[in-house]
Amino acid sequence: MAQQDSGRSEAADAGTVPGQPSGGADGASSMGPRAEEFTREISELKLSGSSAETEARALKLGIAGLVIPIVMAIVGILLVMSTSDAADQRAYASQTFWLGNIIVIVGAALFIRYSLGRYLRFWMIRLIHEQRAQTDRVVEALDRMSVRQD
Amino acid sequence: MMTTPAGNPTGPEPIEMVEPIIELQGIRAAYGSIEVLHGVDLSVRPGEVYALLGPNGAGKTTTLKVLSALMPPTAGKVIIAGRDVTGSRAEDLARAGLAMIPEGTGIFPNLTVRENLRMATFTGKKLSELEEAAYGRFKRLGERRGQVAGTMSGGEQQMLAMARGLATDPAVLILDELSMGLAPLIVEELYGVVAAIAQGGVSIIVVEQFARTVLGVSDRAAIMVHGKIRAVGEPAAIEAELSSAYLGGQ
Repeated sequence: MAQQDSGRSEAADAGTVPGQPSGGADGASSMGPRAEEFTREISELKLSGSSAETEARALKLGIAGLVIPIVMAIVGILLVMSTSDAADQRAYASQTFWLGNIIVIVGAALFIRYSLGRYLRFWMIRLIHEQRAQTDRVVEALDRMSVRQD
Repeated sequence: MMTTPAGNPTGPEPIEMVEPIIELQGIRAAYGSIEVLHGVDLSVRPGEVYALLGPNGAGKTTTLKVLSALMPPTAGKVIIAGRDVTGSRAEDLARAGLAMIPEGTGIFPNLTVRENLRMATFTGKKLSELEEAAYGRFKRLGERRGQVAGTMSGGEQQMLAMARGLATDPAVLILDELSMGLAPLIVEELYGVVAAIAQGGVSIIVVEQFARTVLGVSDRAAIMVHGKIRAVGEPAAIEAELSSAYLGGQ
């Protein structure tokens, strides 16, 4: 294949693009109408506090949610043991119990969602690759069969 | 003219200051605990054809996945049209006009050419319009409109993938290994179409392992090795760096 050192202007002649507007001579630096429309659409996108570390943070939050109730339980026991008033003991016990349960449920949900989510994503990618390879093998086999029949 | 990874120009020509349409800042990405991108900085200007080159396993496809929001980065920012879109959904970017043709085409092999094009009618365009554009651009597809896509040759499948990607009228087109497994004549035909598309003002990012194919249609190119950009510059300058990058001379 002949190498084209002079850039894309020569290569463009080899392709046909019906309905495409002609670009300017300095296409690399001009913002065409589609690019302006794209910029407008991107600016209108509703993005909720995008962050590269959302998954990692949520996972850490989930782990914290699993650990904090243990600490709360220990603190609750110490508080109960520090008083002889039955009403106070019941108050300490129920508050740490209910609050701890809520935190552990939320923490477990976050942990499962963000650890399983990553695993399932990789599993799905692998499944797609395997199915694609399978289809290629089937097509190859069909080609070989049709060649033999000929 | 070439620049070092730090972005400092190494030649006398001034760099035109145009706000990039795509920018990656300090991108890190990992598969599980294995980090594959170690701080990638990249910028693509509007209407530019930008080639991302590098040997197998350099992290090129991962970079494209992060860019198109198919994979979240572990650090860094993805800035598109001046807006930080890190962590956004891939379908939102696709709806706005970012189209990606993945490695291996991504067509539905058990559907016909026509049915594959029908998949792109989610943009609101009629199938007849999409077919007219696709068959006008790739006459061979028109001859095989009723053929099951998985039984077509590699080149024809790639044409179908491009036709389907272009049916969404993208402002940014990402091509991953367009030439993989294809004959040189087909590759030349496809890159002719790429160049023609770029003339229409579409920003194009092309990832290729076989560099010389794409350098002829690029405005700028970058070499990626071991998850980092090693050099950025004009195609002629980058071509001189290719052998050392691929053979580990740097």
